[in-house]
Amino acid sequence: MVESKKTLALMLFAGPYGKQDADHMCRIAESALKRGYGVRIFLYGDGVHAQMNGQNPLSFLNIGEYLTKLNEMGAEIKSCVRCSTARGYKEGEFDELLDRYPSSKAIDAVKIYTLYSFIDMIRECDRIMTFGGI
Amino acid sequence: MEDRICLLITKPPHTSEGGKRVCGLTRRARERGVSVAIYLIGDGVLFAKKNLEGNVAITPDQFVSIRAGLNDLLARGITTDKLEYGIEAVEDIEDLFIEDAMEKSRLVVTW
Repeated sequence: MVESKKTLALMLFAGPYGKQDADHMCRIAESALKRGYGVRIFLYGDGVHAQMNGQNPLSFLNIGEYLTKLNEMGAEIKSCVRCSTARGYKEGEFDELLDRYPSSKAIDAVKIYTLYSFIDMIRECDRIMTFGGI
Repeated sequence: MEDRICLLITKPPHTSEGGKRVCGLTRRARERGVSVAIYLIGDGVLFAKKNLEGNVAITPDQFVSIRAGLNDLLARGITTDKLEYGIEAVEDIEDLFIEDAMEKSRLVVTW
């Protein structure tokens, strides 16, 4: 376990199942959490599909369940509101009480948020890693 | 902290310009005496094969260490006898990578 808690920011650009980017990101996030680091995840572009409710892959790692597990372990997970709106996830205006844009199509572990929160994430983290970029 | 950079490679060597960029970056870092720790996961383990063509071969030496995920290698039919000399196949690659990225390296780049 590390003494001073460093934070790792992870950005996912690709959706689950087509490629392994989401798998890699989740495994690295889990390893970091187990070692006592803070983990903040941001889903962007097609990466927001990782937040979809009811994922049921037959033979792949279930990314929705994995994100829920990571959130329970302490990871903060947000997704871009513009990307989520474009892909049909956002269902209303920002809810101050829930601290997120509402969506019945997204798992509870992920908060749909503005892109500004990603800027905060970058400012506050010790390392940034991206997955699924070109 | 040692002058060291950490590279995580998840893409195969020949399908984009990423492979050549990784090799170029590694060569230049080596020329400047900067240590490079390379971690290969997913399709990135294809970089570990012997005798790669197309100017994408990376070889370990005193400045460059390379580790590849054993499970990802075996999933792609790459047994350890097919690896470039000096490349280490490891089971717990995510743990080793996180330790390196967070504590030992000044900079981390993912490809």
